[in-house]
Amino acid sequence: MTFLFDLMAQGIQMLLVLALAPLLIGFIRKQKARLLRRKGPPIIQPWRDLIRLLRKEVVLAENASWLYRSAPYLIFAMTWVAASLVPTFATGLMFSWSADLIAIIALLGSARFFLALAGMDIGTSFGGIGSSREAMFGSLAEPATIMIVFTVSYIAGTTQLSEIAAYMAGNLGLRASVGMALVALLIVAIACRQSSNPSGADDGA
Amino acid sequence: MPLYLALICVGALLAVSVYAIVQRRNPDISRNVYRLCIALCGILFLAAVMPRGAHVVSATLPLGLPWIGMHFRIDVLSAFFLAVVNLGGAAASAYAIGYGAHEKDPMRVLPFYPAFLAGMNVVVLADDAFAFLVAWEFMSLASWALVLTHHHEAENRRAGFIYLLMASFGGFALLMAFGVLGGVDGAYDFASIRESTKEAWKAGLVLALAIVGMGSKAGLAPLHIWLPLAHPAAPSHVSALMSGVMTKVAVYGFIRVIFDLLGPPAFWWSVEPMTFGAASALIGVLFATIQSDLKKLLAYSTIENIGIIFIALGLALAFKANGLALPAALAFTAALLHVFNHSLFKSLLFFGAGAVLSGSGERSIERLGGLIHSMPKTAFLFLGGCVAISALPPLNGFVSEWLVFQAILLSPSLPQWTVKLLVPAIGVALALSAALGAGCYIRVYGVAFLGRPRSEAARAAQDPDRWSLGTMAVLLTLCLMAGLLPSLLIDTISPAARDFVGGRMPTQAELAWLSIAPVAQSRSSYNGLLVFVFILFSAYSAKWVIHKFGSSRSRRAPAWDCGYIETSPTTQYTGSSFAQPIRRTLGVLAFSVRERLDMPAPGDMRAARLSVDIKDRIFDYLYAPLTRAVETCASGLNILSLLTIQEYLALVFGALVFLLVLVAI
Repeated sequence: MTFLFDLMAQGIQMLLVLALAPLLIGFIRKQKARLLRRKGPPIIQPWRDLIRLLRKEVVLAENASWLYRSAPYLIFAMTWVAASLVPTFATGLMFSWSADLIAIIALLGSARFFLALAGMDIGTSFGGIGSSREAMFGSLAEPATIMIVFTVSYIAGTTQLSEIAAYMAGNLGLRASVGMALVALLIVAIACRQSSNPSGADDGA
Repeated sequence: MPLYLALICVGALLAVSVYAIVQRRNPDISRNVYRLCIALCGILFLAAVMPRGAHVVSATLPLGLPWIGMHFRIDVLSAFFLAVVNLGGAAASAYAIGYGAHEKDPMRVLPFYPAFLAGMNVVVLADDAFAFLVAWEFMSLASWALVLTHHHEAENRRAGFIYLLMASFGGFALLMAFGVLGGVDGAYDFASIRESTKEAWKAGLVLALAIVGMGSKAGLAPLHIWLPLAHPAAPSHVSALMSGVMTKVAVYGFIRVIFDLLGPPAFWWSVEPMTFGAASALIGVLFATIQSDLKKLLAYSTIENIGIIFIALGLALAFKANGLALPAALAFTAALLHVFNHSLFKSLLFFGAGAVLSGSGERSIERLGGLIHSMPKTAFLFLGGCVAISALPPLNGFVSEWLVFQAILLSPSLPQWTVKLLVPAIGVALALSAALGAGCYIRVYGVAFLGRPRSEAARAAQDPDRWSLGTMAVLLTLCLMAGLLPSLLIDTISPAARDFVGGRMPTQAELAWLSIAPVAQSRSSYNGLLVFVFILFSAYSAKWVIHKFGSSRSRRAPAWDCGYIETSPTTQYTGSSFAQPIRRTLGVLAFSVRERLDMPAPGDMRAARLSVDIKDRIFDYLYAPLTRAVETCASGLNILSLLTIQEYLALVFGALVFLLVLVAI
């Protein structure tokens, strides 16, 4: 009975993460628009876009290989698995022990790997620029993230996310190192956001 | 029993060498030699994994020095490396059954190949300094002969020359190391060396000499310069053996001397392996990132991986010196696991490079491209190798690097501040090299296998024969298995950790769901199998949902490249443009890159030129002065060859008097 309950908790967490991720982009766009004194699209606009796009046919370049066709699913799956192993709504999830923080970062690295490969598959210069940037940002962002993991796990004595969360909840207190880790993580997040934008132009997100 | 079986097989390998020379007119000789090598490596592999009644089996053969003989022994460590050597050996031989047919001059390979295998096996089995050094030099010389297979090219002759220099230098350092270990009484069997007392200065000296001797063979920076020249020069199956296996034999030698013969470690021993390891990891991966020669790139990436292994070994030393048995076992296991993993995927990648070379005749990735269409099977297998070596889950490279990170995270328990502060810095270097490594393999695969073909040769390339493909498929399967079920491997290694660092990791096979937890599940755990199943499940369910409720139609159209695509394949992103950001940011520090842009004035019809000048600082600041010094000495001593007979006699007399005085004192 507990097994079924745990499985359900894990499933709900996965679905919740999936449902909320596009809303985050919607939220950011809304805030950006507000800063420019525009009204901005509704927060659920990314979901609407996604649903519309999913209904459309896939257009493949003439020399695209099987890698290009399967990369989106792989990238989505790896990112989703990584996200669902992070205890967002509940700690002590059923499968949280199947990957610790380092493995989660590496999973995101796998997704990045296939994204960059998909960029090179058609053989256009534009795709190459994107992949090159992705690889460059990745090789700087990943060690930075690992350093953040070092900081946190030296304090908590574990790299298991639910254990870290439990430790932080039990030992409330301000630590300079954790604060700096937060700042570092924000910088990494912004850098990654920028790297996914090869034209360098602002696409509104 | 396993030891005698192994020795008989080594003898048989030498006999195969002779057979190759005798039967050189036989048209089937190439296949026969490689078939025999597969069989013998297979038996040797079985001898390694065969249960031995006692932990240690030893034997003395009446060979070599009179009245002393040669000592041989199999313990858990030799057995592990024996398995690694012969798994790699069998794979390379199986690959060569097909690949060897492309060899224009097979007699340059066939006699030396079995001898090379035999030499590596004897190094691992040796139990006295004499047998070890003889086998070591035998291995060096056999591989040197293989490097010179294509000796018509000047570049290969230079590679062979530098390799020979470095190998003799390394061999010399090892000779000194064993000399210091054996002492003046000269008991050179490992059992007596183990018993003898070692003062601190002796230990420091042996450590430095072992780093130089073993490190130069393994490719530890700054002794690595021969490796990216020599490994690619040999035929691809030999490159795979040299990179995947011979470097591991050097790692074995290092472990044998430092962890076994030298006795209980002091904490400062760990500093050298860790710093040299981190330097190798970074230098190796940075040079790999800017290479455009496929095989040279793989050779540089070997330097990176050897660096990772040495980092883990240094950590194991630090923990062992402080009596922290469990972390020491963790670091030691990580090192051995990476030895095994690297031997698998580096062989796979070199075989892939060989397939590309024989299929298209090209080694430079700048003239390849689109191989995923012309060589689909090789492309798939090579992709697997790239994912494995880039330390990405769920394949095996990730598991060993993850274990190294776990060992690094245990470093706060070390009491010495030097090591405590050093280890996190090493950890950052490791993370940086891992991330750059992934970027490097994105570049290789993206430029060589994806995109549009850059030459007619790449367009017309074809998958290799069934033997080559089959071998690569087996290796990729092993990589996947090692990534999904690492607990079995860790438990296999744990007796070695118990004997060499005095501790063992918790038995992993008892954990639920086959996951691994180095210390305790509350501290960190990883389950490759579950992650793999999750990824597959999510990918397929996403596909199912989209195809069911969205659209499953697809159509082909010309690609959009900010306008219609230019048909010339030269408009694609090249390998050097891909590496440009890394070359500009990190390259300035590592290899003093200078870019020069020659832009003609407006109206001038001259073509613009961008030239990139890359200097190897290690070569410029370490080796070039050395070469100059040797040359100066040599030309200074030149006058000695022009003396008169009286002067020669005086010289001899002077030397005699000097020696007598020395003896008298």
